[in-house]
Amino acid sequence: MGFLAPWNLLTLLGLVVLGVVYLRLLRGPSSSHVWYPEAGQLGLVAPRTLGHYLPALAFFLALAMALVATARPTLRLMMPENLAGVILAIENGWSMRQTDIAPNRMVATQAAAKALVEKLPPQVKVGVATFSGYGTLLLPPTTDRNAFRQAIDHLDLGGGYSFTFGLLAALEALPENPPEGVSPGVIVLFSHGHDVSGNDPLKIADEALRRGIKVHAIGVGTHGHNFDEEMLKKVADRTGGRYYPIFSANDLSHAHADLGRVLGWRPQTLEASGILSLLAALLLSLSIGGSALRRQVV
Amino acid sequence: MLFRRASKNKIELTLTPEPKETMPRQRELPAELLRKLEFRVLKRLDGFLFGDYTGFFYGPSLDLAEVREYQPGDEVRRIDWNVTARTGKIHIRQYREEKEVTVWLVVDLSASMRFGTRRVLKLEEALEFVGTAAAIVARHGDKVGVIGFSEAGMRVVPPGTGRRQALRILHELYGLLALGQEATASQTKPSRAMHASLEQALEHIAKTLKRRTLLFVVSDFLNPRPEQEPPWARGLRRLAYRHDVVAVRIFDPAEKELPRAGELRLRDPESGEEVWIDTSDPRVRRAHAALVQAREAMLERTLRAAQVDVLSLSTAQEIVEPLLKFTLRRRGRR
Repeated sequence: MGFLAPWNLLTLLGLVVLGVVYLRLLRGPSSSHVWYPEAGQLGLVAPRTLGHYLPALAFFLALAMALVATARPTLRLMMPENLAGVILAIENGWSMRQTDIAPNRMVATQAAAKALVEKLPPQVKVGVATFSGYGTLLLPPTTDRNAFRQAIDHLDLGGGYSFTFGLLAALEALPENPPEGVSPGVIVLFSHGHDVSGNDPLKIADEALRRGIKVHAIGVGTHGHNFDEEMLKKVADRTGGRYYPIFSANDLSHAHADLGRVLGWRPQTLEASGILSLLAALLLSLSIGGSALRRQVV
Repeated sequence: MLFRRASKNKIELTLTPEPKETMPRQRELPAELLRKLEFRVLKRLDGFLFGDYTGFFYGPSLDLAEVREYQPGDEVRRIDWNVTARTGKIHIRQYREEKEVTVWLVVDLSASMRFGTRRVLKLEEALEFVGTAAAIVARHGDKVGVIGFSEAGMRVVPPGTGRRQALRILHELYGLLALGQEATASQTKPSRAMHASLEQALEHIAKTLKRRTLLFVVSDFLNPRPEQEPPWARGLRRLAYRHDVVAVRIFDPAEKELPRAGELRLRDPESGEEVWIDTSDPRVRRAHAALVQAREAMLERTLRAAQVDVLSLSTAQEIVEPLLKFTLRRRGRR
């Protein structure tokens, strides 16, 4: 929370002065009183309620809100981003059967992918591309989450490993020129980082960068077990994405929790003066209404 | 015509600015009040009682004045059978009060009496009663005296006779009233020495009175501590033992039932204390009802223990009817 005109908050000091004056007035004899014999006795036995002070309290709160509103407070809120789509590029080579991540790389990846998509706003389109010796677009970007889950559940394994094919397939699935007001899209790459296709991964990353597509990379595997995270890091860095090394299923869930916050949501700074003014108006009407209701004579 | 041109006011009024402090209501002069009472109260009482105020003034008494021979018109139950048997002629007993009576009025004009929500203020009701009683006594040629007390002190008018005495009593009480109001208006607490209470007034009169008299104690009998016996209770009991005492209780209906008026700041006229309560709040109303009940129960117990007659006068009502009922009740008991 921040303020666009923080100096206006100093006016709240005036409110403090007003409060002190009010309390002073409350203590002294009132100008509009009613003589009533034995009022002192009644004061001893009558229950004391905070209800008397409610209108005044509401009035001061309303005034405080209005004064705070003049300081133009801002709120940083996560707003859903209008994405062209999120493509999960998932390696499905034989190497994904390795069990260095329990129960094995593939199962862990499937669980991670599903959990990640659950965090996305429902209107975000999700697609799935798989790659081993070649890249395939398994599911074009869609908001149908059932289709997504089915696609993930029915991944089968093939030979070879070249994540550049996966990247290319994913890039192809995203629109070249997204419509006005729609951001180009995001690729999440699940891979162990080996590439034997002979393509230059950084060139493909440059192409993604040109189109404004971020590539987040998730390294599936552990060191010493057919795993190369250097290239994945470079690709993610080049496009402004993040890289998450995964050494266990636990790491994976941390990674997608972090990624889930970033993906599909965009922090936006909004001015909250309007809401505060509305609250001030409501409190003011509560104050006026309350005192009018309870003061029937004087 | 939907749209009417605003015409200039034909009458121009100059309003004097309202004075900041509301001035006390101008009261009529003692003579005016007395005349009004004679016309409005006494005439109507006469209509019912034919000027015979026995009962109202001549309560039960044990002071035997004389035993005389029976005359037509005397009450049969007054016959003294012993003397009749001894002398062979019917004799009746006559009591002192029936011949002459001195009436004393003890009048409470303290701040709490300056309250009233109906026809008149409580003190105006008290003054009406005082005027009526004094006028009746004056008409019968008996003596009437007054002790008035308020925050401003005590005023004593020694017993006297005639209409002039009634006027003098009212005049003195008006003077005391004006003093009390000045004290309240100037917000200066009158010194404790000047401040007179019902207790002191009763004590004073108990010392003064030698012969048996008829005593009217006119007050609202409010008690600052309803759970305790009021401080004047002992004095009243002692007086009632020797004299014929009538407690004239003045009350306002708003004292018994809290007016339902939403949120109010109430100020106690006696202590100046202020409380801020919601008179429509059921909890407040329950608390007040309990307070009133305790106060009424204590007052009733105290007055019964003192064995005094009670005449209750409400500010909502003209005093004729309660006076009449009281007179008939007392007469029936003799």
